[in-house]
Amino acid sequence: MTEKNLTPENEQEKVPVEGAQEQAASPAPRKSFQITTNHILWGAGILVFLIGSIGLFQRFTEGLRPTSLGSYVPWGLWVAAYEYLVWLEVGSLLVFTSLLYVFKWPKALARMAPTLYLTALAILSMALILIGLDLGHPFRFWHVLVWPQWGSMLTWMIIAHMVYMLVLLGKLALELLPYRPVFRPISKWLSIISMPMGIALVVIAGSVFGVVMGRPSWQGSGLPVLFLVSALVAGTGLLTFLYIWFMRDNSQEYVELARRLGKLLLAFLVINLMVTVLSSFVILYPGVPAQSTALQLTLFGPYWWLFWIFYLGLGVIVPIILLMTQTQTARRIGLAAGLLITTFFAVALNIVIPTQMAINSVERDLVTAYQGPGLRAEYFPTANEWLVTLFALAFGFLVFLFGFTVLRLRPHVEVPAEEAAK
Amino acid sequence: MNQTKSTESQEPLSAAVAEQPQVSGFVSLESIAAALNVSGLEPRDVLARMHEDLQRALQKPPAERRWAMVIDLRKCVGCHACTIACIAENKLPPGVVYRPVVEQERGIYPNVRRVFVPRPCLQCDEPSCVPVCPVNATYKNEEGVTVMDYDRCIGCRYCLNACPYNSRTADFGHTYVNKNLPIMDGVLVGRNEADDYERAANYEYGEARKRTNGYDSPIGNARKCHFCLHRVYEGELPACTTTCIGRATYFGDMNDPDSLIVELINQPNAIRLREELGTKPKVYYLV
Repeated sequence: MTEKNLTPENEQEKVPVEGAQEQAASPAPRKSFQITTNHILWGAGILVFLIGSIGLFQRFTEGLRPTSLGSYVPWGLWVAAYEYLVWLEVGSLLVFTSLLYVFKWPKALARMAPTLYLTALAILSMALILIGLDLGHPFRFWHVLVWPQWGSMLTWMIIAHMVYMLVLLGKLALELLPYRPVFRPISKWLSIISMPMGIALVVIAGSVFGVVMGRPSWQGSGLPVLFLVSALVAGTGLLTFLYIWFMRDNSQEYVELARRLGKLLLAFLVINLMVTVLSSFVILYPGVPAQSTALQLTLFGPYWWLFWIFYLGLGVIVPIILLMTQTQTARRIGLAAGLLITTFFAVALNIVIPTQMAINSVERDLVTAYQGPGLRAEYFPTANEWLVTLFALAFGFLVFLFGFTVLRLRPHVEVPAEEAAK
Repeated sequence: MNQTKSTESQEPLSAAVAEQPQVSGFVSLESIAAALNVSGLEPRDVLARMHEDLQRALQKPPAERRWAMVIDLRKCVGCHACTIACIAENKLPPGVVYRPVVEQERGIYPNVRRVFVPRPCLQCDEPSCVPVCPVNATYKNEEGVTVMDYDRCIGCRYCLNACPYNSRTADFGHTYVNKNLPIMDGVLVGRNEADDYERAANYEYGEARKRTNGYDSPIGNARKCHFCLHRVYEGELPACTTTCIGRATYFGDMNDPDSLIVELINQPNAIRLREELGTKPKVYYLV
């Protein structure tokens, strides 16, 4: 068992995996306190958490009043963030499991399972915090379980997400508990059922928008499909980034696998670009205002830069260039993946917000008929919304740090026994 | 019924008025009365007729009545009295409106006309806001009115996006009274008195709900027009109907063939908004 493929923090900490107890028992020379990467990460996480807590305090004392949400744009930053985080969470696990169990990729990939599950759980916690705080009555979330409306896509989304969370927790529990042979089939079946469940969750999340009669730009079968494609793109990006960051070493196997992931990411990026171009063409060509206004707002509205610069420029074109260069290094692939997963948030924002803002063009007379707070068709997140988002992100980050440093949910240094046995 | 016939089944008003003797170029009230074929207080206000219809409907079991509304756009003068009456009746906070009146300016000068379209909840027979609610907090009651269960609503605002008429608003807990308002003790518009009034209970759905703190329902909930059911059950017409100075708003039971509302709905010029959606609104417009 070598230390070479441990994480950056470990390069400084050098925590041995075996014989730790013996070392702890033996008297060691007292070392002076040194600030490690771990300390910096914990400190930064706690600092952002505290800053974000200001927004949380405001959220609970003043309700949704400090937000930019209203009656014509009732869903904003937090709903968009939720969708984006679901893509990351489900997409990364879906791609990971598919590559291992369906496409039989090298077993070395399975080594990162604990870290990937931990990342997914951290992202899930962020998503649930944000969508919970978006509710007018967050503490009534349990009403969905007591008085469910089975015809509502939102009911199904919440239930699907909760079941998915249980599967994820099950996988993590298996990673944490001392290995027993009985875990092998359980782990395998949890992985297998997580695939259709993940697809279902993403498609249902898209259907939440797709079945809405009041917003023609969302309505139809396009969004569930787009959500699935988005989850695959974002998920592959996250998987690639995690692999390159946490598994890095100098072995040929590592570089080869990174390149394969890079190619997969490139393929999904191109597919996503094609879907974007084709769907935009189909919407813009007939130019029906109810359907095309939202897209026109996305492309040429006040937040045009979100689409052209963030999504298309930094999230698609630059990563494609990075991934297509001949001299492909793992670092470049990681950079492409990092850029993609950061800027892909713009896709969720562009799906959620412009469609609601389109009421300003489609039914302007109604918007101007009566004035009052929240009766506007414009939307830009307020400081409170950003602070609460920071809180959720910091919370998820701290969950990850706790799992990584305390629970030691780190990549296996060897291919897990159950994987190797296959 | 008499009044409707007297005003609508006669020859065109302008022609009849023109035939009457005029003084100094002004049209006398007598001539208008004659043109309308009425004398003194003979014609009954449509409100009286609707009250009678309402009393008759209330005698029936709830499941046998279907409340509906007709808005005569030719009579609406855009005074917004219905909007204000609704706000006063339901004590609506800032940002919550059940009955906005949309104003449109049509044509190019000098051929310009203003059109006013009151837009309450259309009380669809196939409401798109109901099936999307994850907790059954909004539902169509047995009288066909889509209502809210404020205590069950989680405030997801899915129904707001689902309504193709944008008839719902969310209550974010705003208040008219703020710290910038002068205190002026003993004066109703002073901060303290106004604040007390604003936080006093309203009686939507027959329930007293105070706005004493910033988070109890209906704060945090989706809100919508409910045809003033709390008034209807007491034998009163909805606030918007009684306050309409042009008598442009009618209310009644669609299941009563003798009611004024049924007469109006059966007019050939009665339309519903966005029929193509299949939502089957129970608010009709006379155009």
